[in-house]
Amino acid sequence: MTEALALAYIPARMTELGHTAYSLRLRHYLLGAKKKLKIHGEGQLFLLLEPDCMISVNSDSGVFDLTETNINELSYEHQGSIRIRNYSAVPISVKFIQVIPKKETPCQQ
Amino acid sequence: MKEQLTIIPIRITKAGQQYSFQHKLPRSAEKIIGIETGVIMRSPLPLIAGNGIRQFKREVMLGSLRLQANGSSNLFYAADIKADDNSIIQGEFIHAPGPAGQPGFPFFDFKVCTHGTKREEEPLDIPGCSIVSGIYRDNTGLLFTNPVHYHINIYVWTSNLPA
Repeated sequence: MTEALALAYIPARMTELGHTAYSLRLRHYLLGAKKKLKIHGEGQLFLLLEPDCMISVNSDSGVFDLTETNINELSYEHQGSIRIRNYSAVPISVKFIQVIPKKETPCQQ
Repeated sequence: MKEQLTIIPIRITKAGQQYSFQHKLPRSAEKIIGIETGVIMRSPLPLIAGNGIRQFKREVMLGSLRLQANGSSNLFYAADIKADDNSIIQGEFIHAPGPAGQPGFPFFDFKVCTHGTKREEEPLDIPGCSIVSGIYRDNTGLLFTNPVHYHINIYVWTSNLPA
């Protein structure tokens, strides 16, 4: 997924989920050779941007792994507990757009 | 309120298979009122030894299922799919276990409750969705060396809009 597609996709998806206010963060993770990473993304959306072919992203809502032959569909939208794995022997970076829903009630001063 | 049932079939043939699916609900469906799952084994499970004469066998978890609806409900259902309910035979006279580590006598080795069990769906209340998508992750690749073939049926109960 490209940045442009993600930015066009997010408003429609968040409206569908019932959130009118949300924050965006660009997360760029660096994974060393054969390293794993776990992200706690409960209540948020993580959109995978232009992934490398040697990474595996496994979450509560889907899988992205180009090396896996037992999958019938790849997912670019992830949420919940997200496990990232670098299959490569060299460091790899993984980019996400993180969508954090805001509370609808304004903060009391 | 008129209820309607739609079935989502999943066929698992490879160990560690991860199957994503999307299922369109009928146009008349107002909301999801229940989910039920069933398993049909297409190949026998490898024998798992019990722990002594009482034959307490752990249940084989075939995999995990997660369902997501469009609309604000998002991820609404998660379940472990089991091959069999081993606790169903505990204390039942009809089950005659064999010696330690061995299966029971074939004639008596029925894994059924004498009085039967009533299958019921898990009640839910998910309004305003038209598509159910989900992912099923097979777990048998971690348990057994040989692939286990089976079918899973996901029964989606919906209530219909009044005509």
